[in-house]
Amino acid sequence: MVKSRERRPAGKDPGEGRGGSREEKPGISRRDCLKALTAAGSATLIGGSVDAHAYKKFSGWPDRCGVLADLTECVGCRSCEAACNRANGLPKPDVPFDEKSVFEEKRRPTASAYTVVNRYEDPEKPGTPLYRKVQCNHCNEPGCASACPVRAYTKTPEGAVLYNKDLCFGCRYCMVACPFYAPAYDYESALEPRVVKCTMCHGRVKAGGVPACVEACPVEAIKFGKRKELIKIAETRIRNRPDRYVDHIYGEHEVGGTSWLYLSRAPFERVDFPTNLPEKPLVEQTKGFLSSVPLVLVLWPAFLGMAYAATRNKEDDK
Amino acid sequence: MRESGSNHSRKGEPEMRKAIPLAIAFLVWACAAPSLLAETRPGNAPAPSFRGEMPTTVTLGGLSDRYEPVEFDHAGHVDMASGCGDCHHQHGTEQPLGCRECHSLDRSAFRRSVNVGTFRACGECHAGPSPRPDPARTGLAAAYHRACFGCHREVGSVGEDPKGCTEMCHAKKETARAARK
Repeated sequence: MVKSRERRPAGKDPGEGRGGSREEKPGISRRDCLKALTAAGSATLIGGSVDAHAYKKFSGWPDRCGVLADLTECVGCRSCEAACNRANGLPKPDVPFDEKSVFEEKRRPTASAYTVVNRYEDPEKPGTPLYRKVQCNHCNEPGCASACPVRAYTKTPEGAVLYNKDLCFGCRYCMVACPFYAPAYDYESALEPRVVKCTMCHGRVKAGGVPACVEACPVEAIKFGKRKELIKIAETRIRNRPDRYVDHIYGEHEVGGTSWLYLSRAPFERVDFPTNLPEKPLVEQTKGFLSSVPLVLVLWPAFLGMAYAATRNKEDDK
Repeated sequence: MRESGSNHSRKGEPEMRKAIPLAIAFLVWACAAPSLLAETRPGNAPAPSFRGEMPTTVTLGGLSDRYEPVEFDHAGHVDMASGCGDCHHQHGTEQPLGCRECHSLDRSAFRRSVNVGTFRACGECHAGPSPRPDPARTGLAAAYHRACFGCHREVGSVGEDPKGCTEMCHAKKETARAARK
């Protein structure tokens, strides 16, 4: 981008000459035109590769935080759901938090519940179900943020992915882009579009605390800390208890890594984790194409305009 | 080890001279201990002679903000458990700690604690509530809860039915207050 901008004045020079005096029409020869276009074209390519390089270099905020969720510890008490509800001032649920009937169906986060716990029977350990807490995973390279046309999403240095409702105009591309189906939509108000999702209690974290759900967990099945440390803790647990854990930390590499990390004793697909996700961030899947769109929009009119100018001049000469 | 070093220096004895008999004593103990333990604790169960030194009821209330303190029936659990290690993760458990992490380090207390099965208070290792606890360690409340859920989860009282928390162990503060009135 920068290079193409630098080149542009050079390309304009002959044009200015042409505007300066009608007699110097042949000033813009086909050769000049082609030269300028080639220069612009190569600048585009270079510009693109420079951007891609800079993007790869950034491997995330060094001190970003996360949460390690150990499915083998969770007892399904739903204290996290209750704490989230209190901390975010959400409406009182229809079914109270100490009610187990909610486990009969698989739930998704909604506008009035940023996190939900689902139960999965484990055929290998009957009577000891597995519980999985679902909420925004706060990706290192969030798909929602890359899909948002108005940049309503921000990845904070603390690790949380935040949504700004003042910028949002309700296209809901983020909901389509999220591989974890985390953002929910508030259908209650038609005039004020609002996507809702977990904020990893960004305010509490900034004030030196931990997310409300983490604080409420009676068995510390969810632990808050620096993402790097949590990965080490997870690795140690797997190493010490290979009989207890599947040898995989879900979220370490999925879609470029997520702030929430998971350990499980059953294969992750059995507890409904999407296991077909690429290790590359979702942003990379579309970045090449999307970054070329503005350039195409700028360069094609320029190319066609100059081609038109060159051919018209020739006709005028005749 | 570090703590034992400081102990010796306090007494003003040279480290090396003290260390050799200590090592010999440890070796002798290591050979004798299995038979000693087998004698005093058949089947890894606490021998009756220890009962007098054990707490009958323990009040766990240091962490209660929304719940009433738990009156834990220690004696009742001793009868049910197959050994101390079922709850105290110090003897006969999957993740044993180093002996010296728990037992006092002067020789008489060491011998006494091996024989009597003295345990360090849970809170000495498991920290109480803090704004941002160390993720590498298990906090006090979680340590208690995990110890309970190890059994009570499988009998369906907790986890299967979250109501079990208040029914079995600790009533919610407002409920308890209302009941008292």
